[in-house]
Amino acid sequence: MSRQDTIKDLADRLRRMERRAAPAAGREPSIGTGHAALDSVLPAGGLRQGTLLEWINGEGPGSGAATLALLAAGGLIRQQESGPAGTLAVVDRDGGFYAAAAAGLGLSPERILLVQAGSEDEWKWAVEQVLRSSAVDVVLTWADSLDDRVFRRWQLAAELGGGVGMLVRSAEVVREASWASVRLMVRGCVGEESATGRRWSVRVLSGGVGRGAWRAGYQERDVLLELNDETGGLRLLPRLERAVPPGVSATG
Amino acid sequence: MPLAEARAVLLGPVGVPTEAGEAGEGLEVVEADEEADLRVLAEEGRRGWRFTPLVSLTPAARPGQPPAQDPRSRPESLLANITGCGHLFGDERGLATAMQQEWSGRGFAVRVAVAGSPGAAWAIAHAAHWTGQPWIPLVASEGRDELWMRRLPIEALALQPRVVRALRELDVVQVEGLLGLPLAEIKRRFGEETLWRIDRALGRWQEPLECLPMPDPVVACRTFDEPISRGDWLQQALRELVLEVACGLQRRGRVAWRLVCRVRTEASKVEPEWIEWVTGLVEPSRQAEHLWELVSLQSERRRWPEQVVQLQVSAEGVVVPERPQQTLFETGTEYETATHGGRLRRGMARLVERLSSRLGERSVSRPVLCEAVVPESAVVLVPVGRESSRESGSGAGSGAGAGAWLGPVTRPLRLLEGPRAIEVMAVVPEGPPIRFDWEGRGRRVVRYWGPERIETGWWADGGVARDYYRVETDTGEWYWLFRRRGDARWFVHGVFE
Repeated sequence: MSRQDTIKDLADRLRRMERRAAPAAGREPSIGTGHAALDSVLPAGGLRQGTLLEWINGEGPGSGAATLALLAAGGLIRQQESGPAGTLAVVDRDGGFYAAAAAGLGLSPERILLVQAGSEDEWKWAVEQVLRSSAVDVVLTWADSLDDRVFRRWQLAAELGGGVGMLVRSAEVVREASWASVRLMVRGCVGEESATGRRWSVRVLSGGVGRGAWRAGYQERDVLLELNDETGGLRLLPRLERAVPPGVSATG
Repeated sequence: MPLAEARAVLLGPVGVPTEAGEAGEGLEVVEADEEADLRVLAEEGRRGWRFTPLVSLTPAARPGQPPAQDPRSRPESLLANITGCGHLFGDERGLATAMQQEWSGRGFAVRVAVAGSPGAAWAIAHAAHWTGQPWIPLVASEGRDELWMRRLPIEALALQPRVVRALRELDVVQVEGLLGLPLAEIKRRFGEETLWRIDRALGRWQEPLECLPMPDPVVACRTFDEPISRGDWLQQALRELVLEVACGLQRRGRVAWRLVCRVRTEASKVEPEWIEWVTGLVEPSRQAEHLWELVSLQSERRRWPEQVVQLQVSAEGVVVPERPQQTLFETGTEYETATHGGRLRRGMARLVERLSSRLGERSVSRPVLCEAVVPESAVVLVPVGRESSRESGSGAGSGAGAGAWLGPVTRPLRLLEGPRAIEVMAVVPEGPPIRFDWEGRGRRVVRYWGPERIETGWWADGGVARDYYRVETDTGEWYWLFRRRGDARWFVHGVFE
């Protein structure tokens, strides 16, 4: 057996093992994000606990993947607030996370645990720790480059902790292997002059493994979302509604 | 003078300050850290136990009233009750001289005064500085406090600054002059608080001292026959000491808020200084493995010094546990409450302890929104460990929501540490941007919102005057730009990630 065949065989066996370990469809309900539009994008109809999600910025850092991730996290945290606590842990490497913006997205700062890691090793360690903790409901971090072993460790940590890990990543990682159960490609759309807020095109990429990946055959499709600038509501736009040709327009 | 005022005065003649980095060239502004001062003072206070077991840091507030603008509350003084201790040093003057030598030898500028009350001692020690007395201990003989006090300036009474100003305007500069005024008049004009402060200074009010607690020391120490430099050996010795301290806590039925590890090297034998680090806990504990895990996480961040001759681990903040042991064997889940909320609280505390031990206390925080105009000042990060150790759990996020709600997409998720200057093309000089360069790429603006003017006075926040724009580029990305009004330069301040 050649080296490639061995690797392929091992990968297949691993995938089968993962699928056996994954819960049967419908047994473990997902948790809604509080935004029906966003839930309709997610393969499981919401967020599955004990899994990782990748939010990939399609163009550049300003594409808004983290904004969508926070909207989803906020919904989950608010649902947890009915219980004893709901906590979002943000593991930040460069100290630029701006909590005032998170508050604008409906996430109360008192629900945020901000962890600032100086070095890359500390950051990896810190993410694993918060994923492993059952006291944290959602973990958000920025991870452009990630070693496969570290990624796997994080996935196992998320399974153990039972929270949801959200990784905001750049488009360069699309071709890399992933241990996330769902990968979402987020591209900012140029809004019409009359648009009331920010628009995104979101595509679910296939290829996740582990718990929550039981809908691996999920159809890839682009979904248009719009965040209302005034109400903070997220709505699904008809698929045919396209971006306008670029020109300069002023609002507000 | 408050720092903000001092800064404004110092910057004033130079010119109107603008953006950070350009303002205050050549001026180093160091913010006072009262908590750090208090920590140092507490440490020095513990050294004071050599002279008397009753050493206090800050004076007690007036019952039912916070000590507003009280000079006595500044973290700069130690108050000690030396009743019955003088004869150990010859007499009270001998004791005062020994105190002066102790702290002068440690590099502090110290004035020591002995009087019949804490207020009089504080006043005499401070007034000696204002009146230029030599740096010798001053001892007021028994019953002669008031005679001393009468000769002192009115500042010695630790009155409110506005009262001192008003009295000086009335040409009342000495305590003697103030005591000559009718009490009713003083009360009518300056309030009852002033009368209370006079009584406090003259020892007419029995001032209680909140003394530093004398701990029942839980300390483990190893002295090596030969200096050791091997990290693994030292790590093993440290582990044994931590376990020993945990056993000590178990025996006493106590838990500790922090462990202090001290290392003495051969080099520091001559000068008896310890290298010290503190491992703080969010919830007090005595669980040996847990304590060792935190200490070892912290030790990973440090390099062991060469030639270690002594290691010491002590438990501090030793308290009676909130909930004593309720079953005969409580293994692993010490004090764990049966409720889900209790488990979560404990889980969060453990997480914060681990993160703080490895990354440092300031690296684990909760954001608190503030009523600030300048975006950089709108969020304050409060270390979770510190917040929790004061009021376990419940204080989290106090002040949240203090800032005005700004809408879902008016502020960027990533605020750059300092605004970055960019090249921008605009159709009109004071108009919106139509193109800008960022990270080596030209970006065309297709939509924008603004300008949103953010401006402060020249005396505050370095004098900010900015016109902000949210811009959408032709790739669908959003950035937060501003034009500085002083010189019309453009900056990127945030990314709507």
